[in-house]
Amino acid sequence: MKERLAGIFKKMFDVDELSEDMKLGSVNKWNSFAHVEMILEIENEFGISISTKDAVELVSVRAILDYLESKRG
Amino acid sequence: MPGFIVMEAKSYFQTQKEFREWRADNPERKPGVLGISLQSNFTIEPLAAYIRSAAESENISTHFQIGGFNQYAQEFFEEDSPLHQYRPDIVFLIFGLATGASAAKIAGSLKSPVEAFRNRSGATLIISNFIAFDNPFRLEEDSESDQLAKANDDIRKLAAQNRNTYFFDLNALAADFGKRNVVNRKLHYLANIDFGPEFQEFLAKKCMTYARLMVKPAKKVLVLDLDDTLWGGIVGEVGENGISLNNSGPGSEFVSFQREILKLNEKGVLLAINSKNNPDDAMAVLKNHASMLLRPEHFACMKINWNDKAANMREIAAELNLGLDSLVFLDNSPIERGLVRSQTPEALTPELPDDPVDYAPFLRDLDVFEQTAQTEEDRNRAEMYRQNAERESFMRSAETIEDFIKSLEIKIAVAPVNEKTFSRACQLIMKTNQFNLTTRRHPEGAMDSFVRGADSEIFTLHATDIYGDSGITGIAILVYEKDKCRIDTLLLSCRILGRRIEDTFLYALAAVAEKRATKLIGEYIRTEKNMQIKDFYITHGFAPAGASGGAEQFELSLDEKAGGIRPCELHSLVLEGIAL
Repeated sequence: MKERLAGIFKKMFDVDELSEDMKLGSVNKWNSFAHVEMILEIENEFGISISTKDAVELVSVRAILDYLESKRG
Repeated sequence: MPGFIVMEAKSYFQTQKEFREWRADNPERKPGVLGISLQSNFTIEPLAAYIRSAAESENISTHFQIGGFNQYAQEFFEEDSPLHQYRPDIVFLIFGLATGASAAKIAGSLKSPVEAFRNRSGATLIISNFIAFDNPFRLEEDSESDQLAKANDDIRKLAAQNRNTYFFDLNALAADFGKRNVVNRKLHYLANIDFGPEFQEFLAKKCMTYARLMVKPAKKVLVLDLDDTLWGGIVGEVGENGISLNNSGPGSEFVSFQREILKLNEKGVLLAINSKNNPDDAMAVLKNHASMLLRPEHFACMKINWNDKAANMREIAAELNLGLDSLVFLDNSPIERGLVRSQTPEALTPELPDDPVDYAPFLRDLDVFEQTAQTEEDRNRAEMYRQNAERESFMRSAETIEDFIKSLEIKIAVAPVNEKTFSRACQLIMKTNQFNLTTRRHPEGAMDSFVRGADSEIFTLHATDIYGDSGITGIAILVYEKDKCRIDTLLLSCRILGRRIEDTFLYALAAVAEKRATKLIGEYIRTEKNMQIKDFYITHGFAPAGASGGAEQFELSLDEKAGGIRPCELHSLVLEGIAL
């Protein structure tokens, strides 16, 4: 799971190594505009639908991984 | 290719990323590239990526100017706005989600920006309406819905009142797509992008239908197979009464398909048959079957034989005096489609759906016959081609070609282009191939500039003869450069070729040019289609004068009245609205 997310961060934000501390704004290309595209990309990659409410909160790698973990159930 | 080609599924991010990278690499608009301006009341930029993909798949090069969020009124009004500085070929004003009240407000205040735009730009303008998300339970007055419906109606009327301005029924498009799937809530609420990726892709393909018209001529002929295409079954095997063709129940899908074909025919698209059959079997169905909507008189050309279908395609094109690239061929057999596609690749041979119930919706979506401005000539074209066939059979009986032409009693009127003939002139510029000396596809905006310019003029040629009125069938553009008059464009519709009408047209142009110029410059740009007129200027007394900007030039001194331009005694000529 982390690897697949790392793949998204690599192609979207040129991030070579994914770290759980990464946050929207702290990664160069991860801005609010790119955020929506990233959410759609995660939906695509993991075959899930993320609500608008959750999308607003998924602003760190840790939050995204926790969220994906909870969805795996 | 239009919408029937399934595009490779790419994620939204991937599409946008590729577009952003491409845009960064191509900041400048190169000559000959279609300049598209997108204007909106929401974030329209992502749509550009989809329009570019759709254009790329048809080998059309595009470049974009994208208006800011809700900036369209300023863009339209201000003379030096980014939009006007860009000088686009086509502008799309696409409206996003709106309440009835705000739609009414937007539509109500649209008139003056649109009129300002029209005063400042010759570009084609496409204006969308608003998508109505109506509640079906209208137990009470619903003023929101009514306001939105009225706003949409106002926009449609506004477009109709302005030249080169077209209404785009976004509401109908969304209904066709499925309104429930138009919006992606996250894109809408988090990024002000009102439409979801899937609808953007769908919308982009429809935008291409307009954009395509700026660069490619529309298709003119629909060529149809018979067995298992217009009806179910093989008539040669099961007989007229055994085929599947009914007004209701099984077989009615073919009637629906024929109804769509008939609609195209009424819009001026010519129909032809290309079928492997015994003519008697096929004609029995065409003439007598009670459920047939298409009858022999609907077809401008019928090839019902055992020849190979590519050969038939060539004959159909030749008989209708059109290029193969004007033809679209529909056949249920993948083998026949493959043959025609490989032997006559100029013609468009789309994949027909496997299931005949999908034929009618497929044809409705094909969008290759669309024209921006339907002219009187289109509606009469089918009739004119029939007149042509009569003329040709008459030609065979006449003694010499001169006798024949004289016997036609051709009357030619040459006049400056006017409000009534402008759209026809633009159409001929886009679609004439054979007798077109330069084949310059001037967009409507450029045509408009020729009309307004002090040093350029557009002339139309109108021909009538004993068989009927051929309408506006010739266009010339004269450009004055000091003491020279250059013929930028000279074309005649293939419909009137072979009657020496070009001689009289050139004489009329020389007579006009003489008022202001001492030299007439003819130009020829070779294409695959216009080789037969490469010596046109030489045979009319012009002398070779080198090349300029890809065109061979020819010169004729107007002072001496030397050379071959004399009125052709085979026709009578009237110069309308031209003082000599």
